[in-house]
Amino acid sequence: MWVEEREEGFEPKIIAFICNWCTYGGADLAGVSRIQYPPNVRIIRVMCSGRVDPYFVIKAFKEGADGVIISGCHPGDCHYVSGNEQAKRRAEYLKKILPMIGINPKRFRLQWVSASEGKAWAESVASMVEQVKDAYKEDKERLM
Amino acid sequence: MNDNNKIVGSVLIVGGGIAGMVSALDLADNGYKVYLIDKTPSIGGTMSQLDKTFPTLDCAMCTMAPRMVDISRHPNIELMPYTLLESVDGNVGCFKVKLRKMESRVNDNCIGCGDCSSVCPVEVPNEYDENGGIRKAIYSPFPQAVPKLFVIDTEHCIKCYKCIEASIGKNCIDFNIKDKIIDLEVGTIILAPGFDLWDPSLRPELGYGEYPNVLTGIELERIINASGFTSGEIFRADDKEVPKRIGFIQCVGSRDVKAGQPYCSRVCCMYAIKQAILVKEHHPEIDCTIFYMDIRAFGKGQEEFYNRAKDEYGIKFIRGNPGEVFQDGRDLIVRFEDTTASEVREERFDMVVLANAIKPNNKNLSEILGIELDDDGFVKEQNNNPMITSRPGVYVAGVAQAPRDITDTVSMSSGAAALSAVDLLSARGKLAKEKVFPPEFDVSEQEPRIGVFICHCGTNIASTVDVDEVRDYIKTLPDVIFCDDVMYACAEDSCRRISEVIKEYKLNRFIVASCTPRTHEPLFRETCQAAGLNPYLFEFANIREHCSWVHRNEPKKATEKAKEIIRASVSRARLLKPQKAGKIGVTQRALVIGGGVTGMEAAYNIARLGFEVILVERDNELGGLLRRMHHMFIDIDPKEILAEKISKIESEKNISVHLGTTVEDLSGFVGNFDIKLTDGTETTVGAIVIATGCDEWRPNIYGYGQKDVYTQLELQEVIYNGEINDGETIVMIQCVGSREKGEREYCSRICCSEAIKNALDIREKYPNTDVYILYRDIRTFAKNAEEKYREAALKGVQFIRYDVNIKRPEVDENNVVHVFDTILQQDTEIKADKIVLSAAVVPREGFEDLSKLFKVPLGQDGFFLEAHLKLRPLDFTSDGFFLCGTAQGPKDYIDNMAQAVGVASRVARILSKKEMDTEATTSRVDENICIGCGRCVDICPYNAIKLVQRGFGVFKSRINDALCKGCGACAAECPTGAIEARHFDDKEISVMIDALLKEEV
Repeated sequence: MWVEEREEGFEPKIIAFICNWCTYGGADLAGVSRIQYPPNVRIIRVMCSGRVDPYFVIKAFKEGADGVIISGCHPGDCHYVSGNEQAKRRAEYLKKILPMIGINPKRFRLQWVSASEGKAWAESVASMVEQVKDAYKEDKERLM
Repeated sequence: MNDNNKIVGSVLIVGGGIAGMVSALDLADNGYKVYLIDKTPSIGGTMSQLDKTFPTLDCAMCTMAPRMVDISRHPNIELMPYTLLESVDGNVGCFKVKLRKMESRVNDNCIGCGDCSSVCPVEVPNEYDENGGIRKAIYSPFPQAVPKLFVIDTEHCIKCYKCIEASIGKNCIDFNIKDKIIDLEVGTIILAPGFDLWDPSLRPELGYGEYPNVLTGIELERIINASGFTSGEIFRADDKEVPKRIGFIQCVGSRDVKAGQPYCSRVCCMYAIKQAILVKEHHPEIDCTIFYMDIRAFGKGQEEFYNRAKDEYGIKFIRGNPGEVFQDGRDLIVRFEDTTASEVREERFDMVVLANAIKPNNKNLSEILGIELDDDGFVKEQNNNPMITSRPGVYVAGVAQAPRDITDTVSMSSGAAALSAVDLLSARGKLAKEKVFPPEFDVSEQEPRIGVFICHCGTNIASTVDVDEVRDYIKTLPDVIFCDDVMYACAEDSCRRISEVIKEYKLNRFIVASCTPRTHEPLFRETCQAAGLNPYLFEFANIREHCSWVHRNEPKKATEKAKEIIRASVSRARLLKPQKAGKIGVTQRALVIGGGVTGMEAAYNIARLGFEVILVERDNELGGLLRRMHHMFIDIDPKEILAEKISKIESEKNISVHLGTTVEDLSGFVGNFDIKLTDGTETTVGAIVIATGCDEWRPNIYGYGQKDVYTQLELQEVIYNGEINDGETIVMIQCVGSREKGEREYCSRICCSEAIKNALDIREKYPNTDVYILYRDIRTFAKNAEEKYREAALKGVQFIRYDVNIKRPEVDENNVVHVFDTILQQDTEIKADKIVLSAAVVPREGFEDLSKLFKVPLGQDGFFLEAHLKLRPLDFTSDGFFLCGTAQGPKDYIDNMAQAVGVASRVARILSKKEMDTEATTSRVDENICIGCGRCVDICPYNAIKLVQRGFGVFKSRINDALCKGCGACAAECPTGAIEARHFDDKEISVMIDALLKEEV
């Protein structure tokens, strides 16, 4: 079990699937602007958030990720017209499925970050780290 | 054919700074041969000395280096460093030029190893570091120099011949090499010689040259720059202590008639702000103070940058005129007149930085070419077109014509390229060569053999990530045959080494761990291609933007993260497959949206480059905003300009004009957009230019709507109709709706010049009128604008400075203007007969619809957002879409013309080829697995997928490669795994997940 394998105060490891056009640009901008954020996230670049197969998310959890982010262009801004809508639809049913397989849905997040939102990207990573820690506390209480 | 009619398809570009580089790449891509000469041993110019660029703080070298490498690899560009222009004969179409290749004593066998330099005993102040550091007598000017060529500085060489001893066997140094004269024939010439800086010791009272801690801006730039002689450490020259207080003094020699530079140098305010921010980023505890007369933050994103400097970084701005700098113990004292308190004050600093004026560097060239210069020594433009000189076939780009920043220089450089291309149209392609790559070797049967380069990026990566540790770890991973670290992976010599090691170690995959694929992937892919490796066998690991830059305070964790990022790249690299792009035809026709002067000029130049143009204008007449104008800042009647542009459009049979028309629908992609216009026209175009112009804001403040309250544009009508009575009092209020945080934070750029021009007009026609201009900062940065400002002040226009942070001006119902004059420090009331509001320049209605229809972005200011603020001001990120003029942001007529002509050159890069490559990474269906459910068909945003019948009741998906954009949404949707998103397939992503989460791979 996830909770049992981790100690209090652990540093969550987060896998982020981010689209090439918006969020990757935003993450680049965070770098260019030297906005500091926690080193907990590992990025996998895909061309579009619509590329992210729910299987990837479940696999990431299975292999030990503490949190998973899918991040794409804001609604209406998708470089591929509607890929982010597909991502949204899939994320919604993922959120329903995750509890069924014993994963606190708080450990998963779909978000929109544009190429001009370096700060938003940095903040989203920081807040996801906190959100995963909260999920850990929740799960632990439930266990006890 | 005699020489008078001969057209040679080549261009000589004088100067290899960013201006010359942009012109060279545009022309070379459009099928012309380019000779690019520079008097120094490397291209790069001033931009190569810069640390970061304002206002985005992009690393200058990082944005520039890929282009420098592009130039060195371009089959149509002949790079001629260390070469001077000697003489020019002939006319447009066929100039005969003589070049002098200076005596470098190093021949073409030089591979840039630097062995010679390391043994040279002579140390000379390094010009690249503004004489801060040292170089040898045999040297290459900087680490990323292109070409990486060493030269001997004959003035300082002592002929000890140690360099020859060190290079025995290489035969690269030859003391018998003398100056060489080279004769060439070229069709046109582009001048891009850059600029000089004014010597601030000519104002001895400021202490430059006397006190070691009084520097110039460019000297500080070299100190801040991680690649500079202090490795980016900021300290005082004499006692090596980190300064606690730095004072920046603006307008040193600029805006100064006595000093000989009456003009504004246009970039100093922004670079001082940038430097102060960079200082603060290095050392938040250092106090930075900027002494200024007017902060000229007029360009895109600049006012926002200025505000951040004040609000986020706590940089102090003092409006004052420093008259003296002197030393007291270890302190430097700046004595200045505080103009907001009308008193002389003193402030103490540890370092003082002078923004010395930009000076032209044209005298010699203008004599050789016989071109006219203006009173200040800049190239005199003709026809209100900044690129055109007095000699046909000779064009100018960049600061040689007037001071300007990188963005404006780049637009203009594309413009100079377009005009050259027009002159030489009949010879396009005659001297050009195609890029040929060696045949790719077949890797399908091979086990992965992976090579990895880990980049220090100077100190950008290495100061946080322990590169040695990462390298040693990556070496232990299976299939990694070669792994090394490198100072700058993108430098030309590093790229050459990638090619070499691919061959030497028979590598079939290559990884560069450095910066972002968004800027550097094309460069490294091409490098692999040149070594015979399919470009898709290259993999990028981003350990700078996503690691070292964002985890600066956690070097251990950043190092671990870098290892994991590269480990995941290694896992993916094993699975990478070669991919091949298809070819599609290009429709050699462009669509230009907007029939204002900018749109018309763009359409005219695209047509002159040999392409059909569809010009769409929403109104029923051409002319846009200019139709409402009766005079302009430049001394020419707008009606005359309008008539000229319209007749040019009418004379070009390649242009079809659609008035009262907008674009209703758009589909397709670069090379072949299907468009439908509201007048029923349906056609295909290869490229689209947005030149929709801007609008004047309708104010809801300062009594607008009351009688006798006008905008500047309305005032023109009033002046034109003679509705002013001599003896009236006219009050102009600047920045109405502009520079307002939360609303329109940007500066509208044109209003100061426009107000001054209107004020001068009024005073001339009605000498008894009183004209007041209420301003925040006077931003007269354009050519002749500062002079007009001075003239207006001399001719009795009264300037009153207000500060929104103290008190905003008010207009009461009787048109009495109440203003707190920050210079006299008193409240003033003026009973105005007419009030004129310099209302903001705003995006046009309909920008959002256009942005949605074309899927091109708008910036936060509501104007269209270009691909890169500095180096790609005329392109959108989406291929095939371009922009120019005020649709991109406020600008004046001259800057609009530079963009309008420049955009033609950008469009030609697409349209000049009959075929272009399609997306190589489209999705593919495995029909053996596909069950024909059609879910992919439903979600494909490009209608690229169809179900085809393969038998009775058997359907399979089929993907059209020409329509597929490779988003991969179908692959994620497919319930059976029949669709492979090439280059981002399920296996590649799965192994990355594994590698990021697990040590063993």
